[in-house]
Amino acid sequence: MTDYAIEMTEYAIELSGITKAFGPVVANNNVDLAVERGSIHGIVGENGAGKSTLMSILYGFYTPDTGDVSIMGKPLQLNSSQAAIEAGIGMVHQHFMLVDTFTVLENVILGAEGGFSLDEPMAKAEARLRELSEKYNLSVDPQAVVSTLPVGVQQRVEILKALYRGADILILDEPTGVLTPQEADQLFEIMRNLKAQGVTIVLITHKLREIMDITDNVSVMRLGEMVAHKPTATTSPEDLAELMVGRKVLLDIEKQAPKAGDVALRVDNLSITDDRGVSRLKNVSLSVRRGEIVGIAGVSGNGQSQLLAALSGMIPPTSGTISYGDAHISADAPSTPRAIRDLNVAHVPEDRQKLGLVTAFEAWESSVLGYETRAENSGPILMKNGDIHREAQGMMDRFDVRPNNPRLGSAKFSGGNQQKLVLAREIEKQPDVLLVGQPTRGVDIGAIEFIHKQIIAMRDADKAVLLISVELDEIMGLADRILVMFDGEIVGEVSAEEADERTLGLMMANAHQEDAA
Amino acid sequence: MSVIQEKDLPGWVRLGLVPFIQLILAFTVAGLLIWMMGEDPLAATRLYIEKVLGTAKGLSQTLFYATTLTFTGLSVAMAFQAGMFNIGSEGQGMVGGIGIAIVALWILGPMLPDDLARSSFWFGQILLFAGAALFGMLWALIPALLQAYRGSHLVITTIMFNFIAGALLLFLLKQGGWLADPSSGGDPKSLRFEESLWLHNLGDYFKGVTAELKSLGERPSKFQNAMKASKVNTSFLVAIGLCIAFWLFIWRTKWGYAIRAIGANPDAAHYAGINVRRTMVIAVCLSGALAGMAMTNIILGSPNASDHVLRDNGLNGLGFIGIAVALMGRNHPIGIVLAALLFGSLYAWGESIQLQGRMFYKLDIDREFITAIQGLVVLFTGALAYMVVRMVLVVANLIWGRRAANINQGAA
Repeated sequence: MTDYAIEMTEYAIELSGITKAFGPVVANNNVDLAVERGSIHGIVGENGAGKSTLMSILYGFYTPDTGDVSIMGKPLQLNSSQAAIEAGIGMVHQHFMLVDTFTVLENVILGAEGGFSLDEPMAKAEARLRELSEKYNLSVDPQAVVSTLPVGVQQRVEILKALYRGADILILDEPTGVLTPQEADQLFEIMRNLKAQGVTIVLITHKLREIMDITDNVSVMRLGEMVAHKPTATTSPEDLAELMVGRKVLLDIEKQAPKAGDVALRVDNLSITDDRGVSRLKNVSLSVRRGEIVGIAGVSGNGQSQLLAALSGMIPPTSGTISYGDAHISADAPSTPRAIRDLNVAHVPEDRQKLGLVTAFEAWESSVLGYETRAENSGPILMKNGDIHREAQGMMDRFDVRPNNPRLGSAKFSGGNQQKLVLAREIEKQPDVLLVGQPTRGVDIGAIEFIHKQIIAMRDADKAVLLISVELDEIMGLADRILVMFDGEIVGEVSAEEADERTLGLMMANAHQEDAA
Repeated sequence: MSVIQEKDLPGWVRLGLVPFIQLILAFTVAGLLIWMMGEDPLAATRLYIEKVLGTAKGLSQTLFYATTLTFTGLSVAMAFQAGMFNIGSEGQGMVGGIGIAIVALWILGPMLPDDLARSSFWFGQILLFAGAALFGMLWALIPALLQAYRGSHLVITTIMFNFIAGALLLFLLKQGGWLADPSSGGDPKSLRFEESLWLHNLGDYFKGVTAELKSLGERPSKFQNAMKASKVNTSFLVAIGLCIAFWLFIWRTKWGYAIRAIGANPDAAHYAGINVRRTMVIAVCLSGALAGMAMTNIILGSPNASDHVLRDNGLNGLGFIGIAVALMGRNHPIGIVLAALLFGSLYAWGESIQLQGRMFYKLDIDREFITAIQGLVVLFTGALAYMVVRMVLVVANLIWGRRAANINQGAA
């Protein structure tokens, strides 16, 4: 034990007493972090806990107000990302920083071209890239154009890019957000390989299962402070969740058996072709009955957004029919978001920042978005601002939106509280059909629990709920029936009892048909 | 060790002190320019304080220009609330002028029976304002439709439409017919509008008041005497009324809600069920209507008889200054009125420099120099706005930041 400790005293990353404040907000308060060389170290915390700030300090984007940074035992001043790269730190961002129309090779050498002519460095770079691919078992075709590659492979290009620049410390920021479970497994395999070759990896994630699966050590952040450092083997998801939130959290979703009634929403052969002529939805048919939650699973970007947009009237169908009771919507009889709302259909959009709220509005103004012309909110000329204000205060009380102030700008609430405000607005209209997209994306664990309860309460009140989410746990926990989308089609349906991660994952990658064949 | 930030500054600092310092800086640089021209900046300042701010005549000139600038400032702000930049107020004003000419020279002339046209002053006035608004609106409609349904950028199209408006106006004024004055020769202008159609003028009202007092054997007060020269007319009241209407419309009606929503986030507006394209067109058309009405003050409001014609110079650049007024006034009616007063006083200053500069203040500056001052004001209040905020923050932190830190330490 002692020998082991002495051998490992050399840390890849050592941060001590890091404090970074943005005005009155202290994003990092006296944070310490020690990452052992050649280990995989997880960092978990809710949104706004300070993970991103800490990593930005490590990558040279921010200079800390106080505190010291040592990389590989050397004290350093990281005041630019260039300095971080020189110190051997590579970062793989959640949203890839790749030029879509360039080849893998061109992307990898971008910013490290050297010289006037590209021919010679290109040839050298290609040789080095093949060497790296082999060494770390990261197979990528250097001549492939990035836009033609699957997301999982694009991520490999990002990792290669960092390694090409000589990184021996890799920071991965929410790397599995865009991957299928199978792709995620492949990524974990790559990470284990990298570790075996001596690369140190810092993994930032909010998925506790990933932490348990792959990390050696884990650090938990809450409200800008480090609240725990633990070897992963000595902890559990429940333990970590409690540390992150500061109280006990119910990770499992409790619900009764559904009592499904009449069909409230029916979709027949719906197809959508977008402005560029790309077919986004192909002959989608589904139905949602009162008193049930139908979940749509799938990797982001497989037509779920278009489905939700069509159902809510934001885009017209190219062909096919959407029926809410007796109201039918088709290419010949398109509808509008306002008309759909008037059919007693509520829509919690996938992207609350871009669609659900007007961030420049105060919360009370956003609390009637989509309903601002209704009689309870507006007279023939003037809006009933007093009533709207009072009602917004009520909504915020009932849905525990914090800070509890309708006059505050919509942008000033955290993701979870913005989402609660949108949910309050849509759910309190007591709609017959509730369309929900990504209800807990970027939402804190504590708020997730609350939001899930509200969605189940809608179902138990005999409403039809269509839930679209890329979080498999969420779909499996909430939905009574699960449909899987792949490339604009519904490729499978399973009941909640039959659903498991493997089956769904294979469907999401559309591999089950080949398996069956 | 709290750091004072911009949002921590009290309202009077953000909305009062900071703009004040910005103006002082602009005027200081303007003073340097005057000094470099070999003239006396203090004399120019004295002229501004004594003749513009210190006399009823100067103030009424200021109000006269501020009236036009309030219209054009509101025009730019209306489009801005919808997230669009209408650079076409100038052209929309010109075409609004054509609308006025059509109402004044044709509808209230040959078209309507005499007794109806002249039966009521207010009937004529309402038609004149409506004509100005309608034509300004029509001139904004085409670029608005092109923007909303074809994606042609409003900035580009409205700039082009300014040129087209100028050419159209010149064509109509040279073409003759019932509109143009055939005797104008090298100075294209319309026939003169009848005196019964001119806007009521505050000066005329006070002339009446003083005459009545004199007939009663009483002496009019100094103020009443001074106000006899006032050029402020009924369009000033219309402008103030429009400020209130603008505020109510934008912040208190569902239509204003829709306009602000598409301005702040068109995607969210579409999600809400707002017809983004239609709302865009409505906002730009209202913007054009406001610009069109700006012409009433210029060609119906002036006390000079020779001004009551339509000329090819339109708003004379006041449409473009409306952009500065709206930006400085933060697209809010109160701010717009204040900014319009400031820019109006600069115009009045230019006028005083020309009329009285050389004789009474030994100043040999062209009135066009105020264009440079306007530029400096825009530079310091707009382009360099954050510079002054930073200066204030540095000072605030030196004084209160340290004291706050001391208090914290004392408590600890």
